[in-house]
Amino acid sequence: MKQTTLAPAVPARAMEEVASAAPSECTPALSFRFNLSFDNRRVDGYGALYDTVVYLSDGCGNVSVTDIADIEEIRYIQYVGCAALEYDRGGETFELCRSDMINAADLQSVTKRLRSVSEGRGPGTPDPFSRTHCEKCGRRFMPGSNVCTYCVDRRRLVRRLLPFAKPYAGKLALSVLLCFAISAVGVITPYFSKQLINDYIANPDIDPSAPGVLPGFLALVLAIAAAGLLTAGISAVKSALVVKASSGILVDLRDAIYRSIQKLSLAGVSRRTAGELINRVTEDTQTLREFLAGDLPDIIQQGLVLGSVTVVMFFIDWRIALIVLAPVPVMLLVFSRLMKYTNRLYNSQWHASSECGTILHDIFSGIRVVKVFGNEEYEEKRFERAARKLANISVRNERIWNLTMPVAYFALALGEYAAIYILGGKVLGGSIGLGDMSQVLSYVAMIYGPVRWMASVPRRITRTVTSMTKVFEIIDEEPDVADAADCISAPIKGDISFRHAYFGYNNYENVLKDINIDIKTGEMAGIVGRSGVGKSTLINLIMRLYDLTGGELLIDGKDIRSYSQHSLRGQIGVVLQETYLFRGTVYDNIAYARPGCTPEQVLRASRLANAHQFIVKLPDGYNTYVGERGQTLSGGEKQRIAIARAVLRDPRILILDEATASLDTETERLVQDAVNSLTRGRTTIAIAHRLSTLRNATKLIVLEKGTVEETGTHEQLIQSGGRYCKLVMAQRKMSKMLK
Amino acid sequence: MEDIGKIVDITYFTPENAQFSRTEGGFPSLRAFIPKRSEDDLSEADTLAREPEWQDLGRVFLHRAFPYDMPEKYISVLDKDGKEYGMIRSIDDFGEDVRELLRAELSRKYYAPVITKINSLTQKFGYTYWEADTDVGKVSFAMHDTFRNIAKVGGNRLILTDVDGNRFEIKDYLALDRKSFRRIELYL
Repeated sequence: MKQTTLAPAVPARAMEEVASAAPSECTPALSFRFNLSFDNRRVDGYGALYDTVVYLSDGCGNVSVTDIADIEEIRYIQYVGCAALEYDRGGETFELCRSDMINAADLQSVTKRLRSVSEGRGPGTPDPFSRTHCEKCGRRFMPGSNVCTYCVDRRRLVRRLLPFAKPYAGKLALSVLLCFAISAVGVITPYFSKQLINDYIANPDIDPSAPGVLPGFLALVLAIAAAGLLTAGISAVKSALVVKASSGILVDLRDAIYRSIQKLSLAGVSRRTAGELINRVTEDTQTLREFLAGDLPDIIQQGLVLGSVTVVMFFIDWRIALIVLAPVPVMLLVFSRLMKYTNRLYNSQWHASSECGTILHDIFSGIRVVKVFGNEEYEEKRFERAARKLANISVRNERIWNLTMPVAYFALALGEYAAIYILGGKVLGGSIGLGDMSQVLSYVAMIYGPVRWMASVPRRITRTVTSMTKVFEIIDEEPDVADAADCISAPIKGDISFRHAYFGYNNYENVLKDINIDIKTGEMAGIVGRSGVGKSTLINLIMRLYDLTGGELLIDGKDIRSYSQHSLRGQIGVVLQETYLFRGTVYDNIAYARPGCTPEQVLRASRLANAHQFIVKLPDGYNTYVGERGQTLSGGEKQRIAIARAVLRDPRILILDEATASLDTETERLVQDAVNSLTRGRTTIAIAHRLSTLRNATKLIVLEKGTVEETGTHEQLIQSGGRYCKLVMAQRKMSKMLK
Repeated sequence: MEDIGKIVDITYFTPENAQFSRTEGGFPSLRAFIPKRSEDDLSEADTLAREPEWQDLGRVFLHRAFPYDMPEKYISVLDKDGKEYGMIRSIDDFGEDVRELLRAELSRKYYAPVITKINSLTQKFGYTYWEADTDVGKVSFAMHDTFRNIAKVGGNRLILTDVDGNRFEIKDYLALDRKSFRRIELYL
């Protein structure tokens, strides 16, 4: 097989050079590869960390030694098409090494680990998702995946599929039996026609008026018809069985994969795009189903027919059988080649047509812009170009298809012509009857018919294996925010404390650094800071959507990981910046927070969130349908429904992430009052850009560049004249200007 | 009505208001005659009213505004957080030493081997596998969603982005040899 992109070869020379420079008795704590020099020349570089010293070699004799114990900072820099590790020492910046993007993910993880070493926290363990290439064969993984589709144990995969097939074992076994029956009938039918032709139709000695001749003739015709009917009947039963079984398997598979996705942490989910996950749930499982319901029975059936026909043919006349079978392997090869080529053509046609669709979509959704700027003519030309390109490609493809396929079929038929020639000669010579010839020719058709189909079997199987790998990868993935085995489901009071907490979404950058915060039950903490500073991250951690990368997060003095996620989140109410309403009624959306609650509880919650007033004014009241294709609500109205949803939970910890940002000042005041009455005895954490929102906060936490810059009450912070004070002044100035 | 050009002013660096030099680590640094920038966007002082003065900005970062059309013109000069100090109209505005320094920095930032010949191009499971000759030697790489990852930028220039995020450039796809062109043709 053709060599596909491999990971860069092992930089043996550089490894040797590093090993000879480094202290010989130790093994490196971590190692990495890089492949560019400072001025972007290609090298085969290797680096290794011994204790706190990084040894680097470019494989050309240049070895550098850097002690990272006394550096100020080490960071990963993303350039365009390449990346570098840089460190600061003595106020100066130096570059450690650089690489193109092949090693980028690995270098990100290395940066994080080196940083950890330079801060005295040890090198840690490698991140499983920093691997991009298969260790065994060096092939690139698919995006969002770290299972190699080439090296994966296929037999194990099939074994994984078996438990899903088990509930349907009876149906599947029966359908295989039916396959046997169909192929048996298929082999026998030409035998009947042979009898019919030899004994009656082409028999010069036959006397139609003789007794028993007509009934015998009729019996044979009926037998042929019955065989046809039998085949049709058995096929129908078989298909019904297979469809039933495979649909059941599909549902089970989809359930299993969906359940696994739900179990994954937010990090596990957001590592892949929504489309990619939807694909795995719908398309990949569909591919498996198609294979189970369509391809696999076909393969079994056709295999049985081919096998038995071949045996029968050899039994009848082995020479003819050889002549007929000789072109089959050749034709299989030709067809699979041809199919590869035409697939490419159709692929390009598909892309051209989707391009056409994209342009149309683009123009129609931006029709206002097009009209306002008077660019109708330009867009018309753009579409025309795309349409013409599509037309040209389809014409070319059709031409190629129409030229090649008939020729290929003719070539395939050559074997048949040879058979006709030889058999015909024998018939003329009188050594066999016309019926024998007809029987053999029927078998020939049975062999040649599925050749084109058979050529695509390997491709179908690999496609299935790919899908299977992707499906089982998700099903097997261990959630990285997992409940501990001895986790507890206990009611919490609501004390939250961060102790030297570190967190980063990716490997090379900590969003939060050394966070130390204490929030006591009953406090309302306001988190202030500019966008991107890590405010939302902080509350994601409290909800345990992610786990800390370093330090501790304690709830009531106990590690957050000792609580079960379900019980923890059940006691937290959240109102997010972007409210998402599911398709359903207003009532459903509020009650979502607490299945099985009474209507009165819902009424009370929406009353508290100041949503009741507007909801009862809607023509359909609480039964108003919202979400996709439902009643359009304003941002403020949606927000209040979301608040009602959070309130209904009666949570111990209430989190408001810019919850009132889209409300007008008047409504915000109303909601604020509601929230204030609710916060008594609970812990509230609020993020707000509008500082007036936080005027009731008992504690303000000012974040800057991922660390806590100031904490204190409003008065304390104003007095100290720091960032918070400046922010308040700036906002006051703004509101004065507005007046 | 006031002309837009008069309301917004872009600072252009020339040898008169900008002195580039090399840091110990080999990066460009800048000493420039520009208004002092407020450290913090929260302070109330107005930047516009400030008088320009000579100041050491330390290491600066360069970014091409038109990386494909004008690689040596309209270079944005940024601080480490990506805030712009000003722009360079053309690298040629500066003397030989500075030109070399800026070019070296730009070539370090933008890495895209130029493909001169495509030796093989195969497709499997929605991936295309490429083997090609480039100005830095032989490369092999894989592309996903190949149609979307080949960008046509100005004229006949192509930018290919592989699964890892590496970029490859084809200066003029019509100028490729026949075989290479036949291979890539299907994906254009």
